[in-house]
Amino acid sequence: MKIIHCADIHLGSKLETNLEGDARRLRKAELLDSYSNMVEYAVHNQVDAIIIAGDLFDTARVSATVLNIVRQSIINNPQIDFYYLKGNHDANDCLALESEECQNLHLFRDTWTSYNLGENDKINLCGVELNDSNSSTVYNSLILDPGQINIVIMHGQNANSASKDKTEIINLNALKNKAIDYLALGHIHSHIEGELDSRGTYCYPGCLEGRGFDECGQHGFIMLDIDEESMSFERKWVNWGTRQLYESRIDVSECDGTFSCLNVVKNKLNENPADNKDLVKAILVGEISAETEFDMEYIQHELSGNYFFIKVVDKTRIKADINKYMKDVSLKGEFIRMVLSDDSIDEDTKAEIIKTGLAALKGEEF
Amino acid sequence: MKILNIHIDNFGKLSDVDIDFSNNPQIIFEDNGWGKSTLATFIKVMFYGFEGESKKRLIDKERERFKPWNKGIYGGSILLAIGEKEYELTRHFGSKEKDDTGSLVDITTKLETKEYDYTKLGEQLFSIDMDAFLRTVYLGQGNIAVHVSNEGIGDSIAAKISNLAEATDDVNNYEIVMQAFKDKMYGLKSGSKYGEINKLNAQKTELEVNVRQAQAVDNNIVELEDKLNINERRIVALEEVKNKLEHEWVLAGELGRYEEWKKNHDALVEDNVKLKVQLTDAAQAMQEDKSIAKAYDEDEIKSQLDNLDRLEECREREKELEAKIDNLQYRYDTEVRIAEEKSQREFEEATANKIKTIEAEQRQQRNKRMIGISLGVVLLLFAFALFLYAKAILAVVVGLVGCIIIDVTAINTKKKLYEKDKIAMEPIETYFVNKSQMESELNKLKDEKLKASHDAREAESFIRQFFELMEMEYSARSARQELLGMKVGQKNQLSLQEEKKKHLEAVQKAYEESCAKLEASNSSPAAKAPEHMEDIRSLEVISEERKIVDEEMEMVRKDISIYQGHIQEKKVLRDSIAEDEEQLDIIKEKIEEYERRYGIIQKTADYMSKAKEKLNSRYMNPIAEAYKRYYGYVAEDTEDYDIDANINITRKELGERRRADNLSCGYKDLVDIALRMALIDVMYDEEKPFIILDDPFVNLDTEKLEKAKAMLNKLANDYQVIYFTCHESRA
Repeated sequence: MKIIHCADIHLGSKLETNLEGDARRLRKAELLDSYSNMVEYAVHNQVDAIIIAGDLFDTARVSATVLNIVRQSIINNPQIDFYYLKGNHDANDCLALESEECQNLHLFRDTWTSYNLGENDKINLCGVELNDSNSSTVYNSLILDPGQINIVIMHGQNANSASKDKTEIINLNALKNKAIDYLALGHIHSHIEGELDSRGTYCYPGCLEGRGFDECGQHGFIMLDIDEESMSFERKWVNWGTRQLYESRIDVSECDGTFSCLNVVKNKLNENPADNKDLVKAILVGEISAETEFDMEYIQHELSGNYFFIKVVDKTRIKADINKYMKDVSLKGEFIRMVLSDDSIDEDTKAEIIKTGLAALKGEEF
Repeated sequence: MKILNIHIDNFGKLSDVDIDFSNNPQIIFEDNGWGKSTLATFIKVMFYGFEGESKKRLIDKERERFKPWNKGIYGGSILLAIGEKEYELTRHFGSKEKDDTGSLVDITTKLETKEYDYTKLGEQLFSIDMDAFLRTVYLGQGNIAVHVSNEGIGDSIAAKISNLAEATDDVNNYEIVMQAFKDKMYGLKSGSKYGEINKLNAQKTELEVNVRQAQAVDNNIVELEDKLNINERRIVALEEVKNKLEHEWVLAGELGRYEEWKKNHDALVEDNVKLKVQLTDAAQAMQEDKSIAKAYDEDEIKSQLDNLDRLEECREREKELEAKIDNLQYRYDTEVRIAEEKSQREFEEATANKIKTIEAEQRQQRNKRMIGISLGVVLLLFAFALFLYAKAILAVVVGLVGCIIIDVTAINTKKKLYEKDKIAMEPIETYFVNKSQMESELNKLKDEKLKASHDAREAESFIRQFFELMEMEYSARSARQELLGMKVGQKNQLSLQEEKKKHLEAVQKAYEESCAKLEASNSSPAAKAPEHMEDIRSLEVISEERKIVDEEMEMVRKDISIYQGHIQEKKVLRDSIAEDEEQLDIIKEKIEEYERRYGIIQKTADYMSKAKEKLNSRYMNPIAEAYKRYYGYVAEDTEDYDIDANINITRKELGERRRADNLSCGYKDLVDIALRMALIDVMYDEEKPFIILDDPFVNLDTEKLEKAKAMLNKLANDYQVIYFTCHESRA
């Protein structure tokens, strides 16, 4: 029996990559396609079930287009069972109605819900939707048959990972020695897996596609291949994203001009396996002198042919060497001294003001 | 500070050049193209390095422009005096700054001095950067152009030199820069609709109008979905009602069929009861007939007639046998009597003789047989003797012969004796046989007679029984007539019985058919009466109600379809609003970025403005005083000229100060030179620099040239003056 474990697809999500126009529309379509293509992959590989461990949708309000795509994917593939556990983004039960119509859509509740799979019900698929009231009590009420292959589904933050959001915490320690073979989790957008106890493993498959530069790297899903006779299974992570996102912080302190900066940026970006279908963000950092001139438009233009999208952000700071300008008897000297010595503004703002002022004095575009 | 000597290894077009600077002013009078400007640049580079090191284009890089034409060693040295000390500054240049080499050697000690960093010697000596150096001590030919107009300042250095601001280059740009800031800010946020932020805000407002609908649309969708749900629930309820009506309709149908069945069934039951009575009657009649038929049973009568025949036959035979017995008994008695009476004795004697003869012959035969047997025994003994003497084969042969003789003799003898016995007994036997045969015949006849008598009695007994059964008086004489009469009556009875039987069978069949029908009727689906029959309404009533429900369902379905359509429309609208929401977010981000940028530019403009004020306050007054002094060297009307807050030369005209834009070219040059000198006085407050004048007096007439030369001489008192010219008149 083959089972796909995916999560955090966030259909209908906004994009955070500053893409505009056609590229933005294309990318949004790709995010939807990525889900549909995964279902096609499941069909092609005779997958029996797809586990969606939360956050299938990005917001409580799901657009008709998105809902229709999901609905059709379920209706058109009755041979595949869809096990959908709501995440913190899937606030409403938009698939509840579909579950009445679709025999192959199975949902979960805020108490443990179990489904038996396989020819002799040897596989037990069990999940619970966490909320404020049940998040501390669900662990005690989880009782599994050690004679079955037990797959447990939950959506929440791993207690071991730092979290800023208000998502429920999953206590891995409380899930130890419960006869869990595979803990199918959702919420964290990058692929993380580890040993739960001597019997089981836990796994966050990550999202299918990176939507912004806070979701860089490769994305995909887990394929479980279960041998019911030997009661064993293999798992593999399938790299799936249509495009990858890369973000590089590049120190250009040693660069004395646009060309050397461009070379340094190119070399640094080449360390990534990014190609012309990928999205790349280069953040220029370091301290440069006020006179050093980087033509950002030129650098961005020169790099744009290499990638689907490139964004170069100048976060360099001006060397706070007031002494250098102490003897500059000029408006420029006076201006730089005045800005650098003003403690009421932060360094980034100082850098931007100085760059703007100098460009204006040189008669250049700012 | 004073330059004593310059040696150029290679720098631009200059190669292996040595210039001594013992005069002051040091006039370098060379033709055009000699390299005066290159020499001036060399001096600047030695003190400050190259300009434009970070420029993109090679042509903007000074290092590239002055690479030796002959590709020799790039650089040279300057012997200079600082205070009382002399130093040799040596610098050689590579393709990049990091490849440069150099030193500053104390001539007295011949050691590299630690007092100054040779790469920053200009800044350290003059406390001024390269740009300020160029703007003050370097008076290039083009820099002192005659054009005094402030028009086209950005393009013409000559135009800039007309005021002091131009002397600090960027100060003159101030107005342009401030205008650029203003333009940029205006471009971002103008009062009109053309500013980027204004445009975005307009879009934002437009989108917000749409987005504001979101809540209303969401509410609308919820309301519509509520209505849809109510209607869907109504449909479910109506379907339930309809199902009940359908069920009732089915029940009503069943009831109709049941009633129909009941009617038929009751008729069937009635028929069946009738048939059953008929059947019972017919069976009764048959039963009665059967007892009668018993007496008149055809076979019985026939059997009794047979018995009667047998009786008569037996009686007849009995008579015959009796006659035969009588006859035979008579013969037997006669023969026995004759034999006894006449020849009993003779006969016995003759017979005894015969027997004796026969016995004699029998003895003779026995003797013969004994001889044969004896011969055989001898042969056997002989054979035994031979056997003893080992003549086995011969013994066997002899033995066998002996045996055969014994046997043949014995058999023959016995046979002959028997035959003779037989012959001897014949007459006796005949007698006895005849007697015995007659006795036997007699006995046989008697037996037969007895049997006939017995059969007759038996037959008579059967007949008698029959009559007894028939309760009739048996009479041997009238028995046959009685029986024949019965036979005739029995035929009639049978015919009647047959008819009754047929009738019975017909009734039976009809009854069975009726029962089958009844059974079929009982097992008919219609036989079961619907439950609560009394509650079942008529088909007409149900049909009417069904019609009403159907009509309502159709109406509700229509409403559902309308609500679904509205919901779909609203959802499409909501999706479109969601697009707008996303677009609005993008626009808000852009506005935020532009606002931020606007703020940065505004702040930059503020800083620039403050820097300008500070620069002015620091240098303006000293410059004005110095200017007046230098201007006094070349003109008398010093009181008429002044410098304003923007370091513009002004002139008092008709009691008002106006910008001195209408000065002649020559005058302007003089004013500008005076201004330069004033700047040098103010800006170089520590080590006094040398002043390089690259043929700046080309526009002066003879009178003014003289005044300029006089000014140079006065200047030479305080500064080292290096003056390049290509014309003898200006030398």
